[in-house]
Amino acid sequence: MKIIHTADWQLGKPFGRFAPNVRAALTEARLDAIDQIGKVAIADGAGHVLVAGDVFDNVDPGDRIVMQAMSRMERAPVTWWLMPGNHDHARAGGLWSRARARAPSNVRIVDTPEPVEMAENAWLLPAPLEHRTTVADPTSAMVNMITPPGALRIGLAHGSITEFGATGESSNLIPPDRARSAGLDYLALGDWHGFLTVGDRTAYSGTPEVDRFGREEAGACISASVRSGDAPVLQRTETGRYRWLSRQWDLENTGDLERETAALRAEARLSDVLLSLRLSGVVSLSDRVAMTSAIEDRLAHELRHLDLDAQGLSARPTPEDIARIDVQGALASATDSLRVRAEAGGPDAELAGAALERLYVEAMRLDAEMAR
Amino acid sequence: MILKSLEVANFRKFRDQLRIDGFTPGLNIVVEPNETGKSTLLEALRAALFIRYSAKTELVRSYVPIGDDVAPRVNVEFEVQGQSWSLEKQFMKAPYVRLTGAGSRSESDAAEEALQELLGFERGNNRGSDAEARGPLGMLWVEQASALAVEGPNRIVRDTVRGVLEAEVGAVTGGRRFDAIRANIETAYSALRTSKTGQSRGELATAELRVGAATSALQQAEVTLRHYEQALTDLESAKSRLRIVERDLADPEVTEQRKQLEGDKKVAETITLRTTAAEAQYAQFEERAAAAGLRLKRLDDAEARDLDARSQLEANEATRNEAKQKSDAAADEEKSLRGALEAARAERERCEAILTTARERVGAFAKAAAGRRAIVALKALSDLEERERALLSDAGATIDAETLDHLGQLERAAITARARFEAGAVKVDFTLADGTALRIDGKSSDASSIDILAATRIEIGDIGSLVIRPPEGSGRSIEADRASAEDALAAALRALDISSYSAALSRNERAGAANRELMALRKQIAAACPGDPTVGLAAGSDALHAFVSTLDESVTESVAPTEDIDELERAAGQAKPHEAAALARHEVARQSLAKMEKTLATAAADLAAATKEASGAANDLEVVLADGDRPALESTRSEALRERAAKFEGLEAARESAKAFDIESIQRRIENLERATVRANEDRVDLTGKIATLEAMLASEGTSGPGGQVAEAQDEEQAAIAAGDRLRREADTLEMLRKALAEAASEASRTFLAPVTKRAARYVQRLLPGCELSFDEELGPSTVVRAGIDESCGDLSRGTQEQLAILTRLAFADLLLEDGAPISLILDDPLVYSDDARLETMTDILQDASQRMQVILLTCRSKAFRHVDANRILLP
Repeated sequence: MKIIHTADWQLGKPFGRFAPNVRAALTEARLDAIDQIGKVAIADGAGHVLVAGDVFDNVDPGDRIVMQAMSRMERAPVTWWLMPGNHDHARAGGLWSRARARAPSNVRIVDTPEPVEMAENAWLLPAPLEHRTTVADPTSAMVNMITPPGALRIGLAHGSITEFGATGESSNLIPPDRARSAGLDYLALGDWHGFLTVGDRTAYSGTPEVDRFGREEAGACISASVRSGDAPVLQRTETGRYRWLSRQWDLENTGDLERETAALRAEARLSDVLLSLRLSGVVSLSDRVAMTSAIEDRLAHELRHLDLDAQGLSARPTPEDIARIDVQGALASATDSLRVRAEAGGPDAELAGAALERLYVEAMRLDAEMAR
Repeated sequence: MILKSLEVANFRKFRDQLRIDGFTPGLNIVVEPNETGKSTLLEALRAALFIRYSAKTELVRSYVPIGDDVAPRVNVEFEVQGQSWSLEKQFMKAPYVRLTGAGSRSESDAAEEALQELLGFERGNNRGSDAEARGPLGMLWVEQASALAVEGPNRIVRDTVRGVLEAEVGAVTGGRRFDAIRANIETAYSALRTSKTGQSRGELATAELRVGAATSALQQAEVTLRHYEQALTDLESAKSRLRIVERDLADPEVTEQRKQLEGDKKVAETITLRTTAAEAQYAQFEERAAAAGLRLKRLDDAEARDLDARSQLEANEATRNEAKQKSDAAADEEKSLRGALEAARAERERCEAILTTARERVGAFAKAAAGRRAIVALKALSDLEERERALLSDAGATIDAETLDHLGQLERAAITARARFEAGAVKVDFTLADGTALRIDGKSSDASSIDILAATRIEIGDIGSLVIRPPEGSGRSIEADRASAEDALAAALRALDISSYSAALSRNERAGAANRELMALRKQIAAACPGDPTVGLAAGSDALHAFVSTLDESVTESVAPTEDIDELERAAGQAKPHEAAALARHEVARQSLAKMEKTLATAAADLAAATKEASGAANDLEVVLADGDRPALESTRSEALRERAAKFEGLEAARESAKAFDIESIQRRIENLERATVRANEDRVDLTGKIATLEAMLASEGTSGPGGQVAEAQDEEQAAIAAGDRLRREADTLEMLRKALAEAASEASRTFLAPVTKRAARYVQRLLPGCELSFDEELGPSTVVRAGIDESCGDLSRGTQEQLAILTRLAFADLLLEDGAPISLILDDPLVYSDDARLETMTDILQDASQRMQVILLTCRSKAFRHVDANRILLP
């Protein structure tokens, strides 16, 4: 039996710290991922899409988000199985009651821990979350869920595998051998935003559209071919549009910057990239100004979004830099006093460096105007 | 520049032409008292140079002398770099300007421009307020009192000085480039913060507001979410309560229990019915026994009553009879005592009548006797009173001591006047032959002697006349004195009706004797009228006269009475106690009679009541006996009692069985079950309604996505904070930069101004040893450093400010002079606030300066500048 395993859609995530156009694009991309998953399902001949929790970003998303999601699911000729996760846990009268009221016929909501027959001889064993965090293992009930002999048993759960204990999370813990202990043919998990297999019958699909820095690959889902008794065949298929890349560039001169930029361009389409960029190194004042303006005035506009941290890139003004501001008179003495303060360290050294840079920029700008 | 002469006409108070010349290149002191136009001269000089000839401004109109319609005119002769110049200017009417010198001559606007060129200033605004355009002379020609505050020089001076300084210092501040960058930084900074107070504005203020708004929006969203989640919790609890209620309602145990109770209730009701019947039967026989007992009791009572009534009747009859006898006896006693009382009363009245008559007679006789005595007394009194009247007349003639004394004085005065008269007058005695006519002063006279006091002509017959002249000194006044003294005496004697003073004395003696006798006589009169209280006569003669006048003839006719009053009084006194005793005895008897009668009445009433009771009791007994006699009644009762005992046993048995089934408690339990069901049903309705409400509310609230809104609000708050931080950092950066630029600028200007500071220091050191003066960027003196302490120039005393103002002008003048500018220093009434030592220092400095430039002091204080070696010019 072919199914699509996905999770952590987190529809309705606000992205409030981004510019309005970026925010709109990211929000839209999360909804577009549904269409994308539908396409993957059709291409793979899968009739069912299992969503292992966190369909929505929070317990009470607005109706617009709910309706958008439902109408997109309605368009794909597959059955969607939606299960509450920790972000959108089930509460009486809450989100899922509304979702159910608005759901088209091909959308099924599994918000009670009871086995349900998906197709002939194929049973879904869901472990929906009723709280944001539960100390108890949500999958423990699967052991006692009875299905007809010989039927396919597919578990659907949301939480961390005990082995991830290193991350410090201690809630919604799922034992790594749950697939075996509950006699499952496949345990489809959500919560971890990347693709990950645990043993041969358990896997995290990851989110279909990445929503934060720290995950370099694009979002994806799993096409699973589930067979009774045998290990399933899993296929990761990319569905995500935006790439969230983090880079640290150690620069010595403008050449370094050009090289790094070229490498980035080769790696991804910049208009689909959100870049968290940290600069480091020690350069001349003129180089620093040239670099930051190259990044801010060009690269930033090419990218979908840029988080720039240039504090690590120190400017060490050269005599030429200083001379370009002025060789003598009041400007030269102001430049000198700022340089001394920037180099002396201390609490306002960083500010003095910034002031010096600004003075340099103003001087260059004035010269440019004079030249015109 | 050296001013040579100044000529004014029709200029303010100078209506006539005035010319001042004799200015020398060095120090000139123009001395003139106040109000004679010293300041006007400086004003005229300014008008000639700085105000265009064609101007018609208010300032120019003010040049015209008040009330005149003339054209103000100023002519100035001066020298610039060895060349002589003459400037003539007329304002208002037929205005013109003419500049002659260096072999040229120009007029009108050309002349104005040539003048500007020559003296280094620019065309101003003609209102006299445009100090910036006036160049060195504008700075150096200092009006009265305007130098009292330190201030920077005007623009042209500044530019000139800057030019000089830049050449001298060799390094420039950065000039336009610096200014432009600084201006850009200031603009950028002031877009974020106010440049003075550093308060946020523009984008930064907006960003800060955004943070505030985002925080409060977040709080709002969180509140909404909390309410929403609370509703979810409420819904959950309502649903679980509803489940419990519904389970309770469907509980089969309750139904079973209820059925059991209903059965028990029926049994209990049957038992109750039985008990009630037994109770009724028991009550019936109880009632019958009681009735029989009652009837027996009635018979007992009736017999007892009859017996009592009859014995009471007998006792009452006896009592009444006894009372009747006592009452009759008391009536007889009372009657006899009343008779005795009446006899005693008649006796007492008779005695009193006799006594009254006797007393009247004795009284009448006594009154008549008194009347007679009074008549006799009155006769004696008449003699005494007659004598009294005589004495009163004598006593009344007394002359008082003062009058008597006065009379004595008058008599002595008359005697003295006469004596003086007689001593001074010539006494002429005539003895004439008969028939000889005597004429004195022409009047016939028959006097035998006359006193002559003045020249008197005496003619005796025809024999001739003689004139007798008494000695000088005496005269008519003596006679007048005599006459007036005698007249006064005579008048006084006449008033008292006596002939002489001695007569007055004897009259007084007579009056004294009469007074003494009168006193004795009055005692006699008082003794003669002692009064008589028996007839109501008071003491004194007046009372006696009045009493006698009322008497009639009966007085003489009365006869002496014969009765013995004492005897009669004694008899009357004895009759009174007899009567009182009889009265008391009668009263006792009367009271006793009343009491007896009352007792009799009570006894009679009691008898009547007893008679009635006896008849009633007899009747009663008769009626009771009609119902049956005693044996019959007793047998009926004993039968009823027997029956009652039997019924009581039946009742007790019934009650015992009722105890096992308490119908009330069974009913209570049934009711409790019913109430619980009703309440559960109510709860079900309530909870169903509440659940519906909550679901509807959640459905509507949920559509807006309260959770999503909180997440969005959190993101917005973070973004707002980040944006604010970014702008704040930019503002901080700009702030640091602008401070660095400001410090650099002030450092540069310190370096730049060193030459000015140095020149000023030369003077300042002489005036204020140990002090340093510094200048701001506009070349205005800014601070004085004294003993290491900075003082703003504006805070110094007026005198010091004025002195510093002059010194800085001198410093600038030196610089300008070195630059070849035409310089002339004119001070109008300077150094007014300077003490002697400072004044001397200042005049020394000015004297030094006058070695290099022309200095003109206009002053009204000739004494203050007397020590100064200078060219003195006195105004004509």
